[in-house]
Amino acid sequence: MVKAATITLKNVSCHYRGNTALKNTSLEVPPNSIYAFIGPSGCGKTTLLRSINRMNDLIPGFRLDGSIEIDGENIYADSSKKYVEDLRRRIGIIFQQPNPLPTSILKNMYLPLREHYVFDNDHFRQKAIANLQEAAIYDEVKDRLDKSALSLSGGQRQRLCIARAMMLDPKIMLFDEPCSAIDPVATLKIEDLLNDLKKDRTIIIVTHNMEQAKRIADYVAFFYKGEMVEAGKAMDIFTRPQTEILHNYITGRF
Amino acid sequence: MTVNAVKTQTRGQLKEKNHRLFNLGGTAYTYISMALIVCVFSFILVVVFRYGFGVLSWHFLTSEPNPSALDAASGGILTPIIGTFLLTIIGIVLAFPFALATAIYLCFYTKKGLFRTLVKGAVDILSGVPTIVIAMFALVIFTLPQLGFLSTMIEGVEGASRAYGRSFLVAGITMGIMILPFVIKSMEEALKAVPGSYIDGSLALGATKWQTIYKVVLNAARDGLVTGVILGMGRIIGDTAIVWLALGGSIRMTGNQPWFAPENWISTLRNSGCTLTSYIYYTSPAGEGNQFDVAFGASLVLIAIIILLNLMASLLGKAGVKKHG
Ligand SMILES: Nc1ncnc2c1ncn2[C@@H]1O[C@H](COP(=O)(O)OP(=O)(O)OP(=O)(O)O)[C@@H](O)[C@H]1O
Ligand SMILES: [Mg+2]
Repeated sequence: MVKAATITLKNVSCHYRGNTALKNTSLEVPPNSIYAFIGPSGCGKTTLLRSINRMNDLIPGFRLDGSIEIDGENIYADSSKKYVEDLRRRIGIIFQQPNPLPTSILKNMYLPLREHYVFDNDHFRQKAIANLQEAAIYDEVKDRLDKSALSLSGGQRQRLCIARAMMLDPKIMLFDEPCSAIDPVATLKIEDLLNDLKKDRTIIIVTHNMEQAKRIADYVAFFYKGEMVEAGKAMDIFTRPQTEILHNYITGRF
Repeated sequence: MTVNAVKTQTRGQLKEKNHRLFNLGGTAYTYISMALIVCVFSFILVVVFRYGFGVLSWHFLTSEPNPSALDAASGGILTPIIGTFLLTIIGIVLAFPFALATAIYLCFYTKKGLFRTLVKGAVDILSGVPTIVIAMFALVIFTLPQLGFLSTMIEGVEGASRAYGRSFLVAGITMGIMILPFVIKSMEEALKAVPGSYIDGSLALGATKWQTIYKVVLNAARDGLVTGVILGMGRIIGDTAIVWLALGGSIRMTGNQPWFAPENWISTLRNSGCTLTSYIYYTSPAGEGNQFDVAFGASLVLIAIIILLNLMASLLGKAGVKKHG
């Protein structure tokens, strides 16, 4: 086990042009853990997740107050293009809709590297294969690495995207409802994968699925209407919710 | 049941009936329109085929035209075909990089602002300007003596200090300008159609904006971009006004002879000639030839080229789909 990164949010508020999506959130994600963000639709989970690798910078009018620190380094201190691009290479993100590009599986794996003009195919082929294996998809695609990634099923596509993000050896991986577009069997595969990944990485996952959060999360934060209502060990959150609203949410009375 | 309830019920039924009628009317309207369009197009094709097919022969396709009204001596359409290809290639090669750059700029580098409005407005207006006006403009510009290297200087005329201003180069450049707005628009559509998730995915992997455009967007939009190019080529092939004014009125290649010898290529490009469209005009009753069949023969070849081009476009599209799955 490699010690991964600690993520610390201090008084984070997120504003889109004209509205505030998240108010005053502070929490700490310990290394090598799976931290789940839960809460009803529109409460700001995605906003917060995308702030951690600064994807929201791409939205005109977005503004973040407070600070997000990775191992003590405030990632909002430097806003140069180079810094932000490097940051995104250190933090993988997987979206709700799997987004492989319309080229071959192998080319998808090379995308993060080729973007940076690396062409040493033999070495990177090995690396790509290793990552596909780690993402538990290699056996299903090994005979068609040169075929289009769009020929894969939804669950396979999502695992391909995870493997692709792993090409850059990120110490932090963010997942935004990674299983919402795929079936239960594929979901379980991805959950297994997440448990594997946390050995060397810190993981945050947004999920609407309480069972999933119970199965895999070490920590849970509950958001409601743009505010973090409760956060803590998953056990405590699910067995001893402090607020009525969280109690209602986890018992499905919402 | 109260009286009121009965009323609403009948009104509901009436509405339902109206809907059905409307539906039926709409369907009939589309079908009749379609049939009409198909009829008109096939009629044109049949007429062209009926008159033109007789003159088609290997000799017709591979010999140079002669200014003679005698069918036997009037030759074929080799140079018009070559002329059409020359203009198409020059025009597209010139327009492509500018159109692509402009489309990328409009899609990815401005959301709003004065400059964007200006560029978009210019594109829209330019696309509505008749090609004869663009040709006039070309005539004014390219007869400047400073641009004489694109055509030839008028020599041996006392006091004349203008360039001739008509040549394959001049007409090709003008064609490039003429198709710019159409190619820009269709390329912009192609770029816009690239899913945002591809772009996000690439940026999330730490790619720069330019790398994302270059590696991801252009690849994903390739079929649409090719369509834009083919659209532009079609417009060049079909244009007559620019040929008329910027290439000049001659049915032969007017550079040093033989025009196809490599040492004369430059001279050929700097001089005038003709294309399929202008050849059709010359040989038609409106022109000098009054060779109805020959004009239709050339039309048939022109239509065949355009059909081939469209076929190519859809084949490319299919190949792309196959490759992408
Ligand atoms: N690009 C945007 N511009 C403006 N407002 C936005 C934007 N994206 C999200 N918002 C707003 O921010 C708030 C939080 O949205 P967010 O996507 O973070 O919610 P979420 O918790 O992820 O919801 P869901 O569970 O449905 O995915 C919402 O009110 C939403 O309308
Ligand atoms: Mg969300």
